[in-house]
Amino acid sequence: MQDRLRKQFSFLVVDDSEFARKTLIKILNMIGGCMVGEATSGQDAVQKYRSLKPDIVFMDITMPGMEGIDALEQIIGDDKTARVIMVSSLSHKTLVQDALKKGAKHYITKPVSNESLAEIVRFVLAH
Amino acid sequence: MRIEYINPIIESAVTMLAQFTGAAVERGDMKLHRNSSSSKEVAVIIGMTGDVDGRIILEMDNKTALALAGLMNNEQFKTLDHLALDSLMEIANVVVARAVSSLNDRGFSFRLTPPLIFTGANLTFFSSLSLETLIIPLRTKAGDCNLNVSLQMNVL
Repeated sequence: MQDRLRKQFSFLVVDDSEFARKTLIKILNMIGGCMVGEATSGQDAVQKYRSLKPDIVFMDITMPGMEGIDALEQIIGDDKTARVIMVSSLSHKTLVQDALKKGAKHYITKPVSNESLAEIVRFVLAH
Repeated sequence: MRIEYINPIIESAVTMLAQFTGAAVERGDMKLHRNSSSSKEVAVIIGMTGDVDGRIILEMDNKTALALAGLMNNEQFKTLDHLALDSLMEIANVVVARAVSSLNDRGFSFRLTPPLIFTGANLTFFSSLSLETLIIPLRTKAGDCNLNVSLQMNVL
């Protein structure tokens, strides 16, 4: 069994891949998360963030329509306290640096492992 | 094709297929074909642009596709439904994206197109780009796959 975080947290998962969303939601539920919504594009994510105000957004980068980096900028523009964690298969330095510069709280490379995700969530909630 | 960008793609495929299936992946002997083509029943295609033009295809037969999606989701699939097809696109995307990230960190500038998946008997692909295709057979717990790499450097 995974160690559960002491405090529950609400989350929004943004990814155009059903498999990626399903996998991430399964792990986040195991570590004490409570899903409040799913989005399949950046535009969808911005709208859902405004209405759901989750504790953490898990944001893919490459999506049809508005990409994750643009959605990150809009969410941070609306709410400077937003906690957005980027989750992507792409991990080159310039992309990671760009995401962090634009306000992402962390960057996770797919495939996501239970242990690293729990640690990152704990870190992001604490800061 | 230059070995410096072929190797990261092969290494990523072997590592990621092993991780998603939970078993080691055996690499077969590579073959070079003059044309870009695919002959299996399921093919995920990812285009590459930037310093190169071309595509990478992860192809397999229907039985392997069902088994691979099953291992990835820890459930049995009888048909290639939306989740199964999406899972196959995701694994191909992870394989290529990890390789591209590694190459971009070494100074290349590669970009990817979103994955496309095709299913059907005797799939064959043609392109106006006359690309050679390097075929890398991969033996996985789910069955045999081929990684077809067709890339050419863009020279300015």
